[in-house]
Amino acid sequence: MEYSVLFIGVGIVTVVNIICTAIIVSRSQVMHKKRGMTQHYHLDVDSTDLLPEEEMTAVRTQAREKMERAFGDTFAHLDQSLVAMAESITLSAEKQFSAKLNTELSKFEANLGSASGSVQAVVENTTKQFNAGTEAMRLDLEAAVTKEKERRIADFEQRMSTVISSYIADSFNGNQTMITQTDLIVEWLNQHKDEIRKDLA
Amino acid sequence: MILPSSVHSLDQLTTIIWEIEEALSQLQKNPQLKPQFSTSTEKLFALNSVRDFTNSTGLTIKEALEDVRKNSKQIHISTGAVTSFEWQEQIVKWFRNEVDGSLFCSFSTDTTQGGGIVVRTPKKQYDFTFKQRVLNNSDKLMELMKTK
Repeated sequence: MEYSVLFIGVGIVTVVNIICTAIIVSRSQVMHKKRGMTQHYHLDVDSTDLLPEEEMTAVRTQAREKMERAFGDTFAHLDQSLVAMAESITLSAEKQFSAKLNTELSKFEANLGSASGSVQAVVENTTKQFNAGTEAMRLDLEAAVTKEKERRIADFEQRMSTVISSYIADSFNGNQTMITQTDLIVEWLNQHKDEIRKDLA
Repeated sequence: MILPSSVHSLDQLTTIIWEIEEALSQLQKNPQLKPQFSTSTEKLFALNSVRDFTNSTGLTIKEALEDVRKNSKQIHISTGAVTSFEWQEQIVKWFRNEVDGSLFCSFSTDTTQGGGIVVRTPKKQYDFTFKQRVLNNSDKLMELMKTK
């Protein structure tokens, strides 16, 4: 969009230059014609009366050279103006383009920063969720392992105590077992005597 | 009323009451008759100084025993092996001397509990088995296993 506007502007300036050049050239020719007619009139008068043919030729040559020099100067001046204008337009276009480019670049950088921030936030959030999930899983696993460990220890203790007590019981003979245990049982009963009394009161 | 240690269950007490009722019934039919009683009943009479069983003493003892049965407390004792009658008397004696003079005990055997006894009152259970002792000292058990 900006380039098309620029080209249109350059085109308009070029057309205006051409028109100006054409006007200047046209005026020069008109002036030249007027001057030529006067000179011609003067020369006609003089040629018939005053100037010989050779001088007349020299004057004509001189006049042509002056005109050519005037054309040359005009074209040089126009050329300089055109170059200056082109430089000015180029400079202006560069400035505008640079400003636009900087603006777009700033917008792009801002968008990029925003997008980068969003991505970073998403990554952080995901990482946080992942870490929380991992921690919860770790705690669950630890709790399950501890529970299973305690269950196995309790089970082992139960089995072991059954084995030991059965072994002790089998090591004696029926009634003899209880007779040999009587003192121990009475000792245990004495230790809990008060408790049993309160219970049955 | 003093109960002999050999009379440790309510069933036994009920049997003694029934014996006394039978004797009273026989006495009504034949006042000259001298009723015969079981060893437990004889022990009960001896402990309570009953020398002559008459209609009036019989009725008095019967009422006293029914009163005991009505207000008695009972516990249950589970043993790890079959026990003798003497052993049961020994335990009942301890309970009547130390806890309650009119306490009744019933006995059963559970070989899975190993040595020791389990005492069950109406409110609570006291585990005096070897198995429970081992469990109570499980830390020592684990230490021993590590050492070995």
